[in-house]
Amino acid sequence: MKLKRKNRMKTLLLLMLIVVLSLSIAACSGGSGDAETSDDSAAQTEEPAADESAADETAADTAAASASYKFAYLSPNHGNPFWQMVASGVETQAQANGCDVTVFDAQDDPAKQVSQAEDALQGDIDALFLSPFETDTGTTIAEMCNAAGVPIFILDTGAEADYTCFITSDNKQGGRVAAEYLIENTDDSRVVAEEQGLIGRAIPALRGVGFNEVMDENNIKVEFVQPADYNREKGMTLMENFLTSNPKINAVFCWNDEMALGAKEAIAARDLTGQVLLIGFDATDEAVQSVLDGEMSATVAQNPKGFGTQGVDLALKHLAGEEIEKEVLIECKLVTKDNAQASLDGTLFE
Amino acid sequence: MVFTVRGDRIKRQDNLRIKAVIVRTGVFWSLAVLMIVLSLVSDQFLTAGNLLNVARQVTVTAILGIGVTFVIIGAGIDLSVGSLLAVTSAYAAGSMVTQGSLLLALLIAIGSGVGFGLCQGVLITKFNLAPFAVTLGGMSIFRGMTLLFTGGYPISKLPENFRWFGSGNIGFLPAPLLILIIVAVVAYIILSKTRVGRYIYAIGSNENATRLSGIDVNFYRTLTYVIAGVCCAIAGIILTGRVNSAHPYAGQGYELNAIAAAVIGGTSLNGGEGTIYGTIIGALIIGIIENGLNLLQINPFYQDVAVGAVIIVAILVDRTRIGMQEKLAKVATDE
Repeated sequence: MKLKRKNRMKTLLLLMLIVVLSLSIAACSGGSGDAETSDDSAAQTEEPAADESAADETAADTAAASASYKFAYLSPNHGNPFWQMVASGVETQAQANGCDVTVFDAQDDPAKQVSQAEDALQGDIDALFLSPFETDTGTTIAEMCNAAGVPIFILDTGAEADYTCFITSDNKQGGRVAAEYLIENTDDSRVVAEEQGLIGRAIPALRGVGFNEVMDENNIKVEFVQPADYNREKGMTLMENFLTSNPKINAVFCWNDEMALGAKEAIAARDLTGQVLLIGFDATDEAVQSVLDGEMSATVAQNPKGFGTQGVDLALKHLAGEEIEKEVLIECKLVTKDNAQASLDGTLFE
Repeated sequence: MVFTVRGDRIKRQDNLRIKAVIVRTGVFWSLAVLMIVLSLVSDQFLTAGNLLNVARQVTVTAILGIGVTFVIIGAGIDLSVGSLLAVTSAYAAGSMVTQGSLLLALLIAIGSGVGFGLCQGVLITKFNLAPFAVTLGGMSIFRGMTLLFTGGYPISKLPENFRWFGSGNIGFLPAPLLILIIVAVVAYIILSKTRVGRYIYAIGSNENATRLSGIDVNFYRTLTYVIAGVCCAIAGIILTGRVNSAHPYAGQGYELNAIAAAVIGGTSLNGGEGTIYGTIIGALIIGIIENGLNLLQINPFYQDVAVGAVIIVAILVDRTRIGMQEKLAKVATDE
């Protein structure tokens, strides 16, 4: 009996020790902060320490030798291909300049993003890149950075506090382009639906503003409009509900591709593929492939990788003491079957 | 012969007692080991700035955990705490933005917490419905009410005085930490120093015996759900202040962390066992794991794995402790 008790105690202590030790082993051997990165930068993020020393040597050779800066990029949801592309832009450009980037994933929880900002600021970074979960989250974190004296570069969504630079797509122009496409490709029998994203994200909400501006200018009524929170599941469910309400819907504009891809399934389930004009936004690879395959009609390409690349470039300029613009708008481009391949090849904006 | 048997028994009792103490305080050791290891592998961990951050980050889970601790000690469960947090803070934020009175907003938050907790408590006690089912329903209903009230929009443009509870400071002490300390002290007093607390433990350990003693089991059990509701309201105000908006999906999934904190801290899901300090340590362990992973730039997906592992270890410890107590009781009555 005594032996049994002793064994149990030992097992417990051993278990606790194992949990703690495995965490510390992961700490020592790890060092990469992100799970899903695009293929070209995956290898480079494994050992930032090694990269820095190698990059220092090459950086010394280049004419404009930039110091080895430390950056952090806060992604609202690394599972979303759009933010993955932004991260990829940040990482690639940073590494090309011999800098070190840690990517944090807030998994769509604003509290987590605030916590990650606090933790990132603890780490002595030279600049913070932030794609806020929502404008309010952006405001809070921008205030934090200002208090800590760390420059903050907001990549999309926005913030209502002082920031060093704000880079975003011209979402309104993108919404207008989508609306113009819709009008050109439908006739007066159109029944239009709109799937909105998270209303709290003010900047992408401009897509809806642009879209509806053009609709109003042409006296076209948008019959159905509801939010599906940029989520694929919700996009599908919403489309099902729309079609149940009115099976005659023949044109849908979704504020992002995730929702459009969901809506596409709902449309396919009713055998209406090709009969409903489906427009997304973001031009993610999956959506563009859908356009090529004829399952989606069009999407609007932003240049998310460009956010990251431009962001790092501007950060480097700022840290070198140069003046930079406070707000940078990057134009969007409509992607249809004609230029879908270019979008997939990454040459759309060249 | 009689002496030897007695001597043996006393030795066995002492052995058991020492082991029981170590096991009962096991959660302290886990926290200590965790902190030691992290301070060795990361030179940012043990800094005042970081520890204060952790304190700020942990308060919401800790306060929800405290509320849930009361319920679980009374042999119940409350899955609605995440949604209850959202609905109470949405009402409070809405009031703040339209009426402008901080006091009114706080009263509305606490009031709705009490009200909704009362509803759940009454359904569970008077109608004898399973707490799991009722609070599962509550989880959906409160989330739905939040979405209806907010229309899916976050309530923002909150004034500084309201945000202070989540993001303010008193000197160097974060306001949420101060609130947590106050809540923890009050909860501790209720649980350990008053009749109310004793009755809650009693109901959790042996409901029938307690009822037969003439204690109004329904009343005290409902009270635990009301207390949980109040804790949700307080946690909600802090979260809203921290994130700068009352988001319709606030607190989603937080019930799991709250219950995890309680379980890690030694609260037994069977009822009758649990402490406030244990729950707070449980919340700290979860928060420090997350903080450590961020500082060390480890894939944050390990976090869920780590927290889950800690929960299981905690339950194992709990089971061992119960086993030891039974052995202790058996040895004491052996003759």
